[in-house]
Amino acid sequence: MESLLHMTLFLALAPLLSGIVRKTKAFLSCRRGAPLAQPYLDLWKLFRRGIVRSTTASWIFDLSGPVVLGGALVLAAATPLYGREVPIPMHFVFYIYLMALPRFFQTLAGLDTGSAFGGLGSSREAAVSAMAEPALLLALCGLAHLGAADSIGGFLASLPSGSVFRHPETILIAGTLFLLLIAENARIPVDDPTTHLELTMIHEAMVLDHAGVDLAMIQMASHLRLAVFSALASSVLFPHSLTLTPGLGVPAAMLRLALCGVLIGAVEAGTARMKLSRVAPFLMVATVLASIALALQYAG
Amino acid sequence: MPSALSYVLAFAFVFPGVLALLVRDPRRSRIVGFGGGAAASFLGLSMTLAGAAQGKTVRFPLPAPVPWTVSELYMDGLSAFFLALIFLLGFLASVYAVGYMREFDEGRRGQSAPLFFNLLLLSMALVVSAGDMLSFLLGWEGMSLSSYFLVVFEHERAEARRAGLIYLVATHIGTGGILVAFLSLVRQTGSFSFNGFAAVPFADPALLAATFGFALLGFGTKAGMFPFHIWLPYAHPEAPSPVSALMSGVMIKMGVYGIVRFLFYLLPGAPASFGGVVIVLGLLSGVFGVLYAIAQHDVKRLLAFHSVENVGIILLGVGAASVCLAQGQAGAARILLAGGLFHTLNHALFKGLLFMGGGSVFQGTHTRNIERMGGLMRGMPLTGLTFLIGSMAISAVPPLNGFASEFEIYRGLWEAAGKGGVSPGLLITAMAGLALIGGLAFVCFVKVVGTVFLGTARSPQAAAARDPATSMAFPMGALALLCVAFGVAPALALDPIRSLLPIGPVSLPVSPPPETAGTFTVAAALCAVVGGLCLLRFFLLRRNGKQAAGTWACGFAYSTPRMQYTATSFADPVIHVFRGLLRPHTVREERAKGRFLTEIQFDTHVLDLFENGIYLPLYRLFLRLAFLARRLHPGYIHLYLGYILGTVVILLVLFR
Repeated sequence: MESLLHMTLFLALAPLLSGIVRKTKAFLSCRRGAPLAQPYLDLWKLFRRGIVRSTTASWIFDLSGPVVLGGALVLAAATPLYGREVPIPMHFVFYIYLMALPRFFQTLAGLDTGSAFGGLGSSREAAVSAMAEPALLLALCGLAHLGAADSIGGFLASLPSGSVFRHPETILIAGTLFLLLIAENARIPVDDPTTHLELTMIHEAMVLDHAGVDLAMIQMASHLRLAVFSALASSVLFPHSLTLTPGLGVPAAMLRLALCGVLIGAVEAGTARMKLSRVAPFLMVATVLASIALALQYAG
Repeated sequence: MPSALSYVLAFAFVFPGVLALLVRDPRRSRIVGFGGGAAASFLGLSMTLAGAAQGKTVRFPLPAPVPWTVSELYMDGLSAFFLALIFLLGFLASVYAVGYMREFDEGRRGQSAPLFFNLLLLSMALVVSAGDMLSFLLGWEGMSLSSYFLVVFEHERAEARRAGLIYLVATHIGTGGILVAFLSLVRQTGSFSFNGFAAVPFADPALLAATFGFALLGFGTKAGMFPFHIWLPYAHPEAPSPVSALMSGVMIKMGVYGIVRFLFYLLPGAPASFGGVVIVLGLLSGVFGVLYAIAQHDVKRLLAFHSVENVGIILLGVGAASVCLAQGQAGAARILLAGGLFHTLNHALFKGLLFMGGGSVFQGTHTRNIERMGGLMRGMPLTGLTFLIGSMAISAVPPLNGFASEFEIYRGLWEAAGKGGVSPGLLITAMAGLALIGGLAFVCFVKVVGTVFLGTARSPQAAAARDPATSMAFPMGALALLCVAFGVAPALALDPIRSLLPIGPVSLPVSPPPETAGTFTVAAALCAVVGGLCLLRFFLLRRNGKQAAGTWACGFAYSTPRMQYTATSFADPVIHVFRGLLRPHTVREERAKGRFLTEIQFDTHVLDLFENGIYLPLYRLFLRLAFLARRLHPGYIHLYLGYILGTVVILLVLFR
C-alpha cells in the first residue's frame, strides 16, 4: 500500500515539477509561459500518437523506451520521498550504477539509427555522465557516513536533525547534488533542452529519432529523473521531513520538490549555457565540493 | 584430485596436441587437437569442482626435475578456484577454436596450434597447483613459451613477430623478478616449498619489502599491471582470437594468482604499505587502461587495454583486502578478497566472450578496424546480442556479473573506510577512482557496440558478415548466460569462493548479508516493469500505427554511411578532457585546387606515454650499451686468448 502511494506520488508529481521549472523560467524572463500542466498534456498527446521508425534501427531502438522508463521507475522506487521507507531499499553504490542501465540503452539507441545527431548526443551524454560519476559517489559516501547506513532511505532519514547548522558539510553535499542534478538532467547551464539548434544539444539530440509512444516514455523518464534528483538533493537539507507521518510527510515532500523546481527554474533563467568544454571543470567543482565535505567529516 | 588422475589429465592434454600434428587432414587435426583439449579441460573442471566440494587441501610429491630437491603439487582453496577458472575457459575456448581455426586449414598452417594451446592450459594448471618453487617456475616458463608460440602463430606477418619479441622480453623480465623473489625466500627460510616459505616469518623488513617488490614486478608484468602493461596491447591482438580469449581471460590472471599467493600466504604479516602500493598501481592501471582503450580503433587492441583496466580493478580489491587484513579489519578484508577473486572470474567470462565476439566479427568482416564496420546486428544477431551482454558486463551495468563483483569491492571498501575508519583517504579515493573507471568503460563500450553493431555498414564486407558456425556460437552463448546468471544471482559464485578462502593460513569470519535489496530483487523488478512497458508499447503501437522511414537528416537523406558518427568522434569529448594525459597526436593535411579544397586528410591517434616516454629511451640506452660492449669482441682470437689469460690472472690474485 505504502509502495503504491510512493510510486503514484512520483508518477503524478514528476511532470508537475517540470511544469514548475518551466513556469518559473518563463516568469523570470517576463513571459507568460505554458500552463503548469503542459507536460501532462504533452505526454497524453504523445501516448496517442503512432511512431515513425528509422529503417536502420534494430531491436535495441525498440527496447530503449521501455528500458529507459523502467530504469527510472526502479530508481524512483529506491528514492525516499515522504518517509524513510521505500519500496526497494537499495545500497547507495547499487543506486548509482542502476542509473547506467537506462543510459546504456538510451545512448545506444541514439547510435542505432545511424544519425549523426544521435551520435553527437550519445557521445556527449556518455562523457558527461562518466565524469559526474565520481562526484555522485563521493556525495553519497558522505551522506552514508553521516547517516551511518548503507541504503539511500536509511541514511537520508537518519541524518542528524538540524544538521545544516551543526554539520556544514551537508550544505556542500546538497550543493554537489544540485550541480549533478543540473548536469545529469540536461538543464542550463550544461545542456539546453529548448534550443533550436540540434548541434548544440546533448540530451535532445540523442532522442531526436524517437517519436510517439517511445518519446513519451523517454520524456516521462526524464521527468522522473528530475524528481528523483530533486527529492535527493532537497532531503539532504531537510532530513527531518523524512521522519514525519505520511499525512504530514506528503505535503512536506511536495513543498520540497516545488522549492527545488523554483530554484532550478531560477538558475535556468539566470544563466547562459556553457561551452561544452567547460562542462568538465563544472563537474570537477562538484567532485571537489564532495571531497571537501568528506574530508570535513573525517577530520572532525 | 588423486595423484594418478593428475597424470591422466596431463596425458589428456598433451596426447591430442601431438596427434593433431600427425593427422594429415587439417579439419580432423583441428577436431582431434582442440576437441581433445576441450575434453581434457572438461575432465579437469569436473575433477576440480568435485575436489573443491570436499574442501580438502591436496598435496602429493612429484618426481623432482632437479636432484636433491623436493617437488610437490599442493592444491588448496585458492588453487582450486584458479584451476576451475583455467579449465572452464579452457573448455569453452577450445570448442571455439575448433571452428575458428578453420581459417588456417589452407596449407595446413594451423596444425601446431592445438599442441601449444593444450600445453598452455596444462602449464597454467601446473602454475596454480605447484607447491614448491621449482615446479612453479617450470609451469611458469611452460606457460610463457607456449603462449609465445601462439602469439607468433602468424609468423609470416612482421607485426606478429614484433609483438612476439616484445612479449618474450617482457615475460622474461617478469620471470627474472619472480626468480629473485623466490631465491630471497629460499635464502631466508632454507626451504624450496611454499609451506616452508610460509612457516618462517621475515625478520628484516627491508628484505621483506625487496622480496615483495620483485614479486610484484614479476607477477605485475604478467598481469599487465601499469606501468608494466606495454606488452599486452601488442601480444593479445596478434594471437588468434581463441588464444586472445585465453590469454586475456586466464593467463594474465596467473599474475593475480601470484600476487594473492605472496600477499596472503607466502609473506605472512605483510604490512599495510604493500597493499597500499597494490591499490595505487591498481588504480593507475584502471584509469590508464580505460583511457587508452577509449582512444583505440582496433577492436582487439581496445579489448587488450580493457584487460589492463580490469586487472587494475582486481588488484584494487586484492590490495585493499591486504590493507584491511594488516589493520585488523578481517570482515572487510574477506569481502574485498572474495570480491577481487569474483571479479577475476567475471573478467575471464566477459573478456573471453568479448574476444570471441571480436573474433567472429573479424572473420565476418576481415578487418579489426571498427571504423569500417557498422550495422552488424542485422547480419550477426547472435554475435551482436552476446557482445552486447559482454559489453554491459564489462561496463559494470547492473544486473550483470561485472557489476556484481565491482559492487562487492565497493562494499568491502566502504565497510573498511566508512565504518571502521581505516585509512579512509586511500580507500575512498579508490572508490571514486573505481567510479571514474566504470563511467569511462561505459563510454568505451557504447562506442564499440554502437559503431560495430548499430547504424549502417561502413564497408561492403561489413554488410556481408554473417553469424559464425555452431562450434563458435555455443561458447559465446554459454559465456553470455554465465554473465547474466552470476550477475542476477551473485551468490552462485560468491558462496563457493567464500567457502574456498578459509583454507590455508587466512581464515576470516563470515560477514553478515547486507540489509539492502540484492541484485536478484532489483533484476526481477526491472524485468517486470520493462516487460510490462514493452507490452504497453506493443498494444499502443498496434492501435496508433507505426511507419518506417529513413533516418531524419534535416530534410536531406544520408547519402553515404560515412556520414554516420564515427568511433573517433564519439570518443573525442573524453579524449579532449584528458588530453593532458593522453597527448593525442593529430595530423591534418589539406589539398587545394585553386581556391577550392579538394581533399582533407585527418589522422589522430593516441600513443602510450609510458611506452614512448620511458621504455623506448631505455631500450635505446640498452642498444647503445650493447654497441659499446661489442667493441670488446672484435673477432681476433689473440685478443680472446688474452681475455682468458687476464681472467685467470685476476682469479689467481683474488682467490689464491
